[in-house]
Amino acid sequence: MSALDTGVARTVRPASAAEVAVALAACAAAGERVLPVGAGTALAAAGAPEACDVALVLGALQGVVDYSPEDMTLTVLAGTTLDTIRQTLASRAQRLPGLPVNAGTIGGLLACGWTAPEEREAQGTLRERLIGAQVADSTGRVTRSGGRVVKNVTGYDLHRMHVGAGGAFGIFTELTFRLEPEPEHRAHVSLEAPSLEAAREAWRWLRAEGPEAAFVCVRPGPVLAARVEGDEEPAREAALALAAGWGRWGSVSSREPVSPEAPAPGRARLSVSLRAAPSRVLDLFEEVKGAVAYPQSGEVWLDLAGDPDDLTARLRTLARGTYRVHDEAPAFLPPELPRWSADPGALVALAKVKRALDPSGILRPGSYSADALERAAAWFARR
Amino acid sequence: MARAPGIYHITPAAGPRLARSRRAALARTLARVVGEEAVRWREPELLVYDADGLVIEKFWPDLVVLPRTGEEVREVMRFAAREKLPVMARGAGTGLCGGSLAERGGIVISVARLDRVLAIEPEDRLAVVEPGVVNLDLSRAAAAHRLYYAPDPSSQMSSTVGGNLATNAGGPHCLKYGQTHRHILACTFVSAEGEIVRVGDRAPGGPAAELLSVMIGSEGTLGVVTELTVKLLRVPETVRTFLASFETVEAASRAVSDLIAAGIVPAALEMIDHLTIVAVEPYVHVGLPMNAGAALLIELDGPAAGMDRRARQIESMCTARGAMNYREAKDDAERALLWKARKGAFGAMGRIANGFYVMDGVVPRTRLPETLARVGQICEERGLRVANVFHAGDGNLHPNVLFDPDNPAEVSAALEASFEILRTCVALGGSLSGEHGIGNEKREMMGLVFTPDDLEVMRAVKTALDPGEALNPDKIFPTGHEPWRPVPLRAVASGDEGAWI
Repeated sequence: MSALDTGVARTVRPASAAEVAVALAACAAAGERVLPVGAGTALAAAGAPEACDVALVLGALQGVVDYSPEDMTLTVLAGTTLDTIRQTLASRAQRLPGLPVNAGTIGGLLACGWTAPEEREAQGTLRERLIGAQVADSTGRVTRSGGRVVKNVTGYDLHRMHVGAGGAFGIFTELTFRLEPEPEHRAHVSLEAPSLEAAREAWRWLRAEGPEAAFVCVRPGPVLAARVEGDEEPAREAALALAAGWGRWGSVSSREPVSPEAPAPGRARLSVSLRAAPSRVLDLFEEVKGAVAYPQSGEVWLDLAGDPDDLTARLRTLARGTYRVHDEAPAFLPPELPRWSADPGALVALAKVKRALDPSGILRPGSYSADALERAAAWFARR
Repeated sequence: MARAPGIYHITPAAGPRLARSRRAALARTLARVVGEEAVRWREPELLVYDADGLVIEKFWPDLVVLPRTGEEVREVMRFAAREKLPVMARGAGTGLCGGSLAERGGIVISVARLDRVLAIEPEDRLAVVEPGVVNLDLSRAAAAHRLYYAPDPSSQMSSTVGGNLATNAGGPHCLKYGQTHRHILACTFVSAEGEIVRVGDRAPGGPAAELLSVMIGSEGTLGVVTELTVKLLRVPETVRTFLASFETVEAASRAVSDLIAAGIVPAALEMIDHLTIVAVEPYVHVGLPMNAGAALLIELDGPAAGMDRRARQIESMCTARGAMNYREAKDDAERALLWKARKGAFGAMGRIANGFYVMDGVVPRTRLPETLARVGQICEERGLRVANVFHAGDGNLHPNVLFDPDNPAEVSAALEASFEILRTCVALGGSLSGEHGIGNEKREMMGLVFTPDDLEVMRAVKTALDPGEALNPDKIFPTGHEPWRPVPLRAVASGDEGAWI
């Protein structure tokens, strides 16, 4: 979906955090609903937005505010592209783990709550890496939480709450991250397992006795693939240990898995991510067929195609139990298949926070509108 | 706007606010829910709950309840709401910022009896625990599966995981593994209205907006946590520990910069300064030169392969920066000894002063030498000595301002110095607290870091979830009251091996 497809009446392109706040205050006064837009590549990723009056395009908020390689911190404006960040850090052999290969802006990526699974198993999510942010809200305020130091317990960590909200509680204007050094060495091991049972055993062995893997995925075949990384010597040794261990279950190679590993936000097809505890992921993988499983991060990614009614019916069965529909939620999906926590109390609490931080309710109407949160809470409470 | 400290005073421990007869009546009603033996209301029983790790500032609660289940916590919350009494959750009472003080009286909910490890699930690498589980006990319980709980605050032998969640606790190893927030998958809490709410998920790192991030570190101001689901990590195959001494803090800091520039991520990177060495060496006998300006403790963990190369690299980096001596622990006993130089620092303060005030500031790591110079200057200008202990890898410093508690002028000077030290940290791009929290101790200083708008937004979240300010009132946010000053600890007897920071 591009910004043009959203049917907004007008587009605003603020050039500073102050301009974002002024624009939001004006929209609040006029009762105009606002859709924040980064690169416009994944507008449905925090749940499909409802009709909006104003597209607030943040691409002009571009640039590195502060990069301190020795402190391993990076502060950027929210519209900074992922490419700019990658290039900035590459010069010092550092990285912000979890950036996907896609185009996009860092603010948009965080608003989607998305962290590339290839990275987050070993390095944590971008939410964990975010140590401070500046946010503009619909009352016209520009405020901060956190800071630029890697260790900090001063005040509420509101910046992490905004991750995944699509801008519904406030719009990121500046972000500060804790960085990591690039690992010296990466190695890949894959196993063509003769059966799902063999894949399951190979996964359990890895988890309980094998070397620490930075990333594990299971693709149809089933094929298990793992990456180990770190200093060169231990990474090489871990790859050997892994190949020897997995060799008991099937043929092993050191081929790098084919990218991309997982559907990225913004794909035209309906991509759903189902979440489950790691020990349940392979059950889910078996059940849904044709998916990619990430057992360490507790997810199964599934590309679905078909007419909306069939997809909806399929999702209803998939979404039971601990399985959740995440990531993109196209407009045809009914509201009772949300991407949220299934706890009614948590949804009601989020609705209260939404009302407190966006009293006019103009920010990104959709999944995180107070009414939508309360409806979802009522639905889960009935269940 | 934070105010400069005035003359210090000890808040008189005036006893409970409510009359004995009223407390007795409330206790009878509460006993119907949680049982008589779970309610404390007589003065001698309340006495031990009038302070936490900040020790001297004392406020009596009116009642203390020790529930055994989340449902009991919910009933206590509902009772408190009916009676319009504030509720303070309390773990082990080791917090250093006065975060569990019953400043307005009310009910302290101790989680001491909510102390069960409910499940350890090795394949999912998680544990489900009640909030009163002691941090180190959790790692002990997970050890059979070669797993452990990574956050290791100084108090881990006694502090609880619930208290750790409330303060987003740190510790030396959070340099590599991150603070508590990176290790909590989910929690269940009782809201101000007495509802049971669950936030987070068993699968790590969900993409949705959530309140878990705000609950962690909210110091009990948004809910009373009754259950936690926490990540467990694989116990590292190898641990290597090194101790080096240097002529100056600057030289040691340059060695730290070299390490980081080389892409080494140590598990811990801790430093002590000259005065701390003077205090600690005669007690731990680890072989630090008494004229050394700083000692640096470096720990690596992970796979054994390749660690020899890193060890050689670290040694040559320390040598290049003029290390006066350098040793590596040969075994666990020697590792414990090297750590004692760091961990024993607080107990050893008693050798060099009668009183000390532990500060907890944080700056960007590269500003540490400059910050320490300024800290030294601030203390010198006031005729005070300062002994520094710090997490050099992440810029978290703990200056111990030394003074004589029986000399009011010196006490006042120490408090003034501590305020200036925190102001310096903020001015150098840092913050008020790296790991202890804000609580009661630093709330009036919040204006140094945040604008009124910043605080208003945080306050709006508090008000949305706790409109009656029933949960741990007057913590974190400035109250505009007369600036409250903590009275420093009198140093414990030298050689005490109790809590270290």
